[in-house]
Amino acid sequence: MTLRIKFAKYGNLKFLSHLDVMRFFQKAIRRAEIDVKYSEGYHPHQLMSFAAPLGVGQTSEGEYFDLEVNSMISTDDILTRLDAQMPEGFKVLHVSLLPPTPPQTRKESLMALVKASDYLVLRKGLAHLPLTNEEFLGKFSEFVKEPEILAVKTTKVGDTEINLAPFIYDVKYDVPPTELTEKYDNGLCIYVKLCAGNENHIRPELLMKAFHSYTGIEYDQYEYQVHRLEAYALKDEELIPIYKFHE
Amino acid sequence: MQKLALSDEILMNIEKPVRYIGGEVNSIVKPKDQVDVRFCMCFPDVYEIGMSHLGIQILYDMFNKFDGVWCERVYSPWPDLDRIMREKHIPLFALESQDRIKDFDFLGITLQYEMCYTNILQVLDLSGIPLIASERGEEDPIVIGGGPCAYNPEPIADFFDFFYIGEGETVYQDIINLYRKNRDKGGTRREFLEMVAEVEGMYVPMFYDVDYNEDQTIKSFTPNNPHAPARIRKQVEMKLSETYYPDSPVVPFLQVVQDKVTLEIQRGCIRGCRFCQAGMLYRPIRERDVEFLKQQAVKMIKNTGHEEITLSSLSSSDYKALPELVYFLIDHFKELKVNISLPSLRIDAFALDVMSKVQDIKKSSLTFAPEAGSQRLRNVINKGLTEENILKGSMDAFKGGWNNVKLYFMLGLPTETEEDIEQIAVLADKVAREYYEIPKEQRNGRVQITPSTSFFVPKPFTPFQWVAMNREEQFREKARFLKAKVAEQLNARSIHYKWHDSDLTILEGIFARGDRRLSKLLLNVYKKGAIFDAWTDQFKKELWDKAMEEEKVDLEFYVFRERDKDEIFPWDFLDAGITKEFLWREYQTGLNEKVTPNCRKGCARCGAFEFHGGICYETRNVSGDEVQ
Repeated sequence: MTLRIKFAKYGNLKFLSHLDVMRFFQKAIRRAEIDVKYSEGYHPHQLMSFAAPLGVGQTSEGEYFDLEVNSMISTDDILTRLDAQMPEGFKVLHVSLLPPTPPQTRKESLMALVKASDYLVLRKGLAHLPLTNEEFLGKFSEFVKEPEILAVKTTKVGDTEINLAPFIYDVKYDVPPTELTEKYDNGLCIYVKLCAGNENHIRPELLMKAFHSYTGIEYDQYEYQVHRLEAYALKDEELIPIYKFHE
Repeated sequence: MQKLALSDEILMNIEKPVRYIGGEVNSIVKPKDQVDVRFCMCFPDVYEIGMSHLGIQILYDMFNKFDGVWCERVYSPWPDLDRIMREKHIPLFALESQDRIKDFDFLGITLQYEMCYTNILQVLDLSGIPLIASERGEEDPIVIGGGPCAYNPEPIADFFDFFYIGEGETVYQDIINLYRKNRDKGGTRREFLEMVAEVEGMYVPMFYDVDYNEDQTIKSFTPNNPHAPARIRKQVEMKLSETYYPDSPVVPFLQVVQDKVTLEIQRGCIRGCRFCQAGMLYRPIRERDVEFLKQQAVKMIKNTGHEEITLSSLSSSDYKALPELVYFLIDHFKELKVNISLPSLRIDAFALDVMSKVQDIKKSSLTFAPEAGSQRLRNVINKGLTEENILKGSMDAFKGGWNNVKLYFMLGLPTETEEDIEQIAVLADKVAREYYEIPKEQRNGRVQITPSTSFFVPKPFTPFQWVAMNREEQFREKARFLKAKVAEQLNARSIHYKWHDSDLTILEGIFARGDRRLSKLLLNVYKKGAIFDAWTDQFKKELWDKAMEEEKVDLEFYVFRERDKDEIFPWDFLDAGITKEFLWREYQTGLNEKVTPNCRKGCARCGAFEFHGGICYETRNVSGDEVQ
């Protein structure tokens, strides 16, 4: 049986690396005494796979992993037990049971499923950004309307220049921060829906960096706190939150 | 959520920020209004090393079980953060509360190896605590040292308010209560230390004066305060199955060195190897009850989620109920996929059976620690392992499918000759020859024998505390000689000799048997920028060379000198149970190439009988009269 688990990573634990998060869940699953399935061999490992890794320093309430189990009482029971093992900084939000993979078909990887993500970008209010919130929002809304938004994407094979415009699916200025986002006095919070996944994964930092070249203000990576809200898969041409995908 | 002491910018600009954020599973946060004593426990090395240490986990658990006491942790900030903290004047903080160390009541520093001494100064300095104990004010935390290096605390005596000599489970509650009592009556720091000095096992360095002879040896070591006793006796926990042991150790987020549950099955060792300080210091051997250990293992695995459990002791094979314990762990944890690791196991039929159940034979290796190449030298050091044991153990293992053997040796042991060193190569070759005795079709590929050598450092409270250490050139020459001898062996291609050309060996030698005057050297080298000396990539030899020159540290005196029988050693005022007479007797027996039977075979009258327990009270062939 495959379980799809949605969780949040927030607060001080935003400094954990993706590897730390995986190790953390392996131990949490054992503490929760979940009947998890292991690989064969002398060094058995839990059969789990994660969706797109979150950058160190970012918070999220839209993280996912799939977990193979031998048995369970119910998804609610798994949620309760696993969440009981979460220290402050992790929260288990949703557990669903995936339909069995039909015979002779390859199991769809969670990573490959992700096509878009929602983010909140919060302004930390450090001294070195010479814009008021109003100026900032004014410029930003002009910026995202540009037909062409060029950015340099650094990949394993080298730097490539891409146009971000087609990958910005939505921008809103009235989405409030959630309970799990970091809080800053200035209150500036931008919502964006960006293309994600294996082909064109657009990190919000890339967008903010492009915004800074647009305004001519030097980019400071610590000026913004990024919070992932949700990850989406594509079903019948429509973006569906990952946890609802199999419903 | 706890507000962090470091900003996002700083944390995002350093290696592994998770070292500094706390919040780990099973870490303890207490409401401040229910706490009247704040204790910070420090391992003066990087987080991943410090978090792997069992002793800290035991004491952390113990202190937090005390009413009104909140014990937190701090480790040495890595050089990247160290630099930033100095630049920006950020005071060092504890992981749990992220509060400044300077505001704590106590800072307890564990002393596990000499090469962390500059890190002690780093921790004090970054905390804003005066480095020299006598310069501290009423507001500064009381700085305590403990752990194995506290058995010669003299080189770092100036930096500590007091040392806790021996095992931590016994009198900390009393010390905390004295602290409260003194505070309630408005007593001073000095008055508190006078109260502490009267507790058995506590050493307050500033209450003692040292006089030196013209030849620089110690003339006298005497208390200068009526509260301080002339001799200080180590603390020993005799009820190891009824004392503190954490059910829920802290689970780090980071991959640490020992990322597993550690089960300390016994304390002490019956073997009496003459080079081994731990084997002498932790006498008498005391076993933990096997039922206690089983319960503890189950609880700790459940509460941590670790996927590995390891048994810890100086010589696990000497634990009487080892098969019962190990087979229980194998059975109980099979379904939970918990790995079991068994270091320091003597290779015999039981060990091979267990290893074949818990390891992948193809990937694992067999380890022997003969420590010396020849039987003659093994007799000198009282290492019971014989060539026959090694060859038979290897053969049994080869038949079981292993083909990888590691052999540990020391160079620079007392009385060592070229012949002894050559025997290391010969022994490695003999092990390889055993392998080729097996018919070809039954062999499992090539055999690999890996002898490795470390350099011998004489330690206090061992029979070799009198001996001269080898010089660096001698060590290098010996390693080169051995390398050449390995190359001459028939199976040279199957033997891979490894050694560490360690600059640290001599420094370790200085501090292991050093005296109070060395604190100047530490201060000097620390001010030049030395920290993390135990890390080869951080160690700066030139700083040490310069500091030694400036402070006129005489290596001939501290390191390369054979001591007289009756010389007063810097650590002689400590009573570790074992007597100086016993150590001298063992030294002489060793020089005569005679073996002393282990504690189970007969009593060597070391003095640990005084503690009234453990092996001394179990199976004795000698009458009580004889041991007095």
